[in-house]
Amino acid sequence: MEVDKGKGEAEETRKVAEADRDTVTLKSSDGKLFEVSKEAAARLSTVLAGMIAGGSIDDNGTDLKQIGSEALENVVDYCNKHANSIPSAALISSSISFNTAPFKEPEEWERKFVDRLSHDALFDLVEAANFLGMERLLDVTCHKISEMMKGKSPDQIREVFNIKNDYTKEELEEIRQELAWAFYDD
Amino acid sequence: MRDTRFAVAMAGDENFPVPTDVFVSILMLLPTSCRRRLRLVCKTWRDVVDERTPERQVRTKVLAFISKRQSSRALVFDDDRRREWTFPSSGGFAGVVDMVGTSNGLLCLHETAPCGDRGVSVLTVANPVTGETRRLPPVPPARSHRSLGRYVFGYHPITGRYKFVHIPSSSSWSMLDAVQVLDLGEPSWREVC
Repeated sequence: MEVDKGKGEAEETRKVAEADRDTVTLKSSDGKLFEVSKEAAARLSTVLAGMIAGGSIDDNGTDLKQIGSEALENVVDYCNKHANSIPSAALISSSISFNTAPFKEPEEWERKFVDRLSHDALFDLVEAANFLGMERLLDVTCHKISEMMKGKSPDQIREVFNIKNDYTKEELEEIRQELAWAFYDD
Repeated sequence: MRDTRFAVAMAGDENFPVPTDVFVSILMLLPTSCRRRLRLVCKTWRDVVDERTPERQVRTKVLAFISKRQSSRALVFDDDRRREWTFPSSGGFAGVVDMVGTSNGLLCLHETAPCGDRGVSVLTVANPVTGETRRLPPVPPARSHRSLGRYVFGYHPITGRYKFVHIPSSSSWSMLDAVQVLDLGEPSWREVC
């Protein structure tokens, strides 16, 4: 989907886009151009939907200064994959639930999509999804991070997420005792 | 973006490279006990868990359940609004509907009818506000008389699961050797001795 392959090609892509207007061109913070289906972008991102509706889409590449090219490539890839996938029956039926949060389990392809990402790429994608108001992509990436937290000790969590332990031994012991009753597996 | 995050992560008071609102959504996907364990990771996490993820914010509402043959109704009084919901009876027979219990706005209803040898016994969990209902699998028939016995409905705050307990009744209490437990969402009951 990257179209930064030389001026001639980019120019041609732009003309095609202008002609039938079914794609939008997005520009990452480091100046790379990506093309994405307008329908998918508007459906999956409240921010892009607002920009499309408000006419603030630049045919030469709409600047997204907060998003790097790797994250933007993943965003565009997700939109295009989403545009091609038909919601499965499982997804529809799981929406009937008694949970307070209307979270729908990620579909198989969405799981694979986030599973292949590196640690940094995953967090960059969370940031991009949050910035672009992409609720579903945010759900899917958050779900992945929550899975990474399950069943791990505090030490393991600190290691996985590179977090510094700022507790003293005494403070930790105090919290452990406070929570003694909660120390069993679900 | 990466440089900023590195700086932020090293600042000490923000140890996780996601906005707090996003972190809260991640925490809310975890079971309560797991979330509580995460308080041990660092002070920032403890504060977010304490301040942003209350165990359950449920405002108390008034509920009235009127049991009538084939047209049992639930009334939920929500501030100045009154919602009314009619239990969709299994139909075909004039059953009696009992309310087993309520939890977090869900109703557990038990429908019985003297029909056939053993009678009909159907357990349903319902959300009267959204109108959703879910019929629960029957208690294994091997456990004698299905229409007898009592049901209990509860919510386990640590695991966040809804549970149903069936206490089989018989003419003599000495014969009670096990109860059956069902977690909402599980396909079948399990025995607990």
